[in-house]
Amino acid sequence: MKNNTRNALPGLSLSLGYSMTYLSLLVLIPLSACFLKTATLSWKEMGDVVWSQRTLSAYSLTFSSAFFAAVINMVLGFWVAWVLVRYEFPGKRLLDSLVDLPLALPTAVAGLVYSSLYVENGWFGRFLVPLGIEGAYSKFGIVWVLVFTGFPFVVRTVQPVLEEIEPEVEEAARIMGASRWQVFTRILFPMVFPALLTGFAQAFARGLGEYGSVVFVSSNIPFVSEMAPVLIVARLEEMAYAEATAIATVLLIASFTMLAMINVLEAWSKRRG
Amino acid sequence: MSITVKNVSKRFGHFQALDRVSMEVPSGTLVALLGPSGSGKTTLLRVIAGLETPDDGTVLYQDQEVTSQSARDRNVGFVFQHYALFRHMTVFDNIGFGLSVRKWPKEKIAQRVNELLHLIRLEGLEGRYPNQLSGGQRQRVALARALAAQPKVLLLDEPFGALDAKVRIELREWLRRLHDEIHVTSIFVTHDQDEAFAVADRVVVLRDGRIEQMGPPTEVYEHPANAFVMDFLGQVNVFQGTASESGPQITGFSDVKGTPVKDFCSNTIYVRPFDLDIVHELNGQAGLAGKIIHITPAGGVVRVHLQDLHSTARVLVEMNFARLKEMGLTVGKQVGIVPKKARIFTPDYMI
Repeated sequence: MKNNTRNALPGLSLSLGYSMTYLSLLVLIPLSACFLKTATLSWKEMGDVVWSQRTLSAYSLTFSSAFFAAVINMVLGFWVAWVLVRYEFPGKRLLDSLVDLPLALPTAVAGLVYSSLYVENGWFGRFLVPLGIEGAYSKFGIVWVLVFTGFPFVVRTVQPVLEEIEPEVEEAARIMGASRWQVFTRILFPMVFPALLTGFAQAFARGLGEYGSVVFVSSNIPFVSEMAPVLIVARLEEMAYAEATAIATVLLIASFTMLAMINVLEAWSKRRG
Repeated sequence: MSITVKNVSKRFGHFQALDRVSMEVPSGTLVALLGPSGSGKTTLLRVIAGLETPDDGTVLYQDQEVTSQSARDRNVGFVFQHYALFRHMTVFDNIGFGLSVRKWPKEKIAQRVNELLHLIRLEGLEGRYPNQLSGGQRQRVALARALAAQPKVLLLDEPFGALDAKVRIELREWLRRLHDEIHVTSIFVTHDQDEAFAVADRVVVLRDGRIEQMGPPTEVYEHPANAFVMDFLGQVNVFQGTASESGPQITGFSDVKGTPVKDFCSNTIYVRPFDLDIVHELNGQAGLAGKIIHITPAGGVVRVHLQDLHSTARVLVEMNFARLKEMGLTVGKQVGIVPKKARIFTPDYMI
């Protein structure tokens, strides 16, 4: 029995080696460099940097605004995916391609546009600011711009799953006596839920690392409206490289843990389907 | 509960799916809608279910008109070809779905689901998800789900179409027995005439949105209304010939005993493979000289493919295995083909 290790798909060692090399060059090595640089700090120095009031408030702002933006995206993205899959209307293809725009547009442009729209004499701001709604240079603005940058993820994960659901499944539910609302809550939504979680995780991760748009839309005041990525850049400008990487490392570990948790949740909900 | 369909038409764009179809399904019978794809059989089933609204005509359940009633209010059980199970729900929840949306109390749902699990012989698998079941098991779950709310009518759209041959036969026999037990008026769609004949009390043959023939399986098989039905119900040999009031005259066959026909005006004659026989020598008997080119066993019979030496046309003869052995027929042998029975149809049904 020779060659009994041969696989129907040849080239495993080559393609795996190739992927691992690229993964190392592009992801693992830069990330470990980040860890190594952080390691030049003593535990105490690191604690001072990471545990300072300013850093903590930056973390909490970053995580909370990325989280809220991802939640909003989950609702909006589901809505848009639903409309794109379920209905035929003029301009549908245009709308479909518009969804990806936030990925192509430099996010700094988005940040600039948002802040200029929502400032006191901006197009929206002139009506909103007198009502007490500060769109620019506020938490609201940060969340809003993160919704923009994270928008495509939920749409693009939910859309194919919705498309895949056969009409017969809904017809079966209807014929068994389910109302339209019951079809949605008991059939469609649970089927789409794992994809919705994936999209949420992606939008959330995108929000955590977002810099370009946030730096323009936020007033970046330490302790108040300074996001973690902005703080990292601020530290870099002070030539405090180790401190910058320390903040980044914590951000990295926290994001990784949260994404892992979401993945577990997703696997759990998928296992049932 | 009986079902009556009166003059139902349905059109999809330019495609006339159903063209003034009328039929009656007596209460408690099992009826097969048989036809090639595009014949409108599924559309007819969906109209009866309420999943499709006809452009014209009426549907009656017993004496009550339901044409405009939604599928939800008709209390029918429907089984889809590709099962359409809810993949995020267990077998138990799939079967109980119709009961839980109708707000049955939990204990009653559990009781009914267990009854059905027993009926489909899947006890112990109620906690599985559909993707952990085989095709046959999934279709049984789909059936149990359709029966859960004790529907007055059970409709099945090519229920065994996606299964492999062996499971298909097992399941259709099981369906027949099940029907004999519960006697719910049932209609099922199929393109497989064996399946229709094996299971149904009545067969409805459709083509191009119209009913070609309906009746008990034996009647439809013995007396096909036209060439289409004859051809659709099984392989058939087509010969050129003439016929008179005394019977058909097939070119080459000098004397064929067939059904005498009046108003004859066709030159196409149909002979079923088992209405032909093979002899070693013609010896002046009416028949064709042929050469055996292929022999294929098919269940209880053997199909002998021959070539007519005269016209080079292909002829198919079915005979039993013992006789084939006895005669010592092998590929390449030259033999005589003699007819036992032939049928003639008028030209507007020419194939």
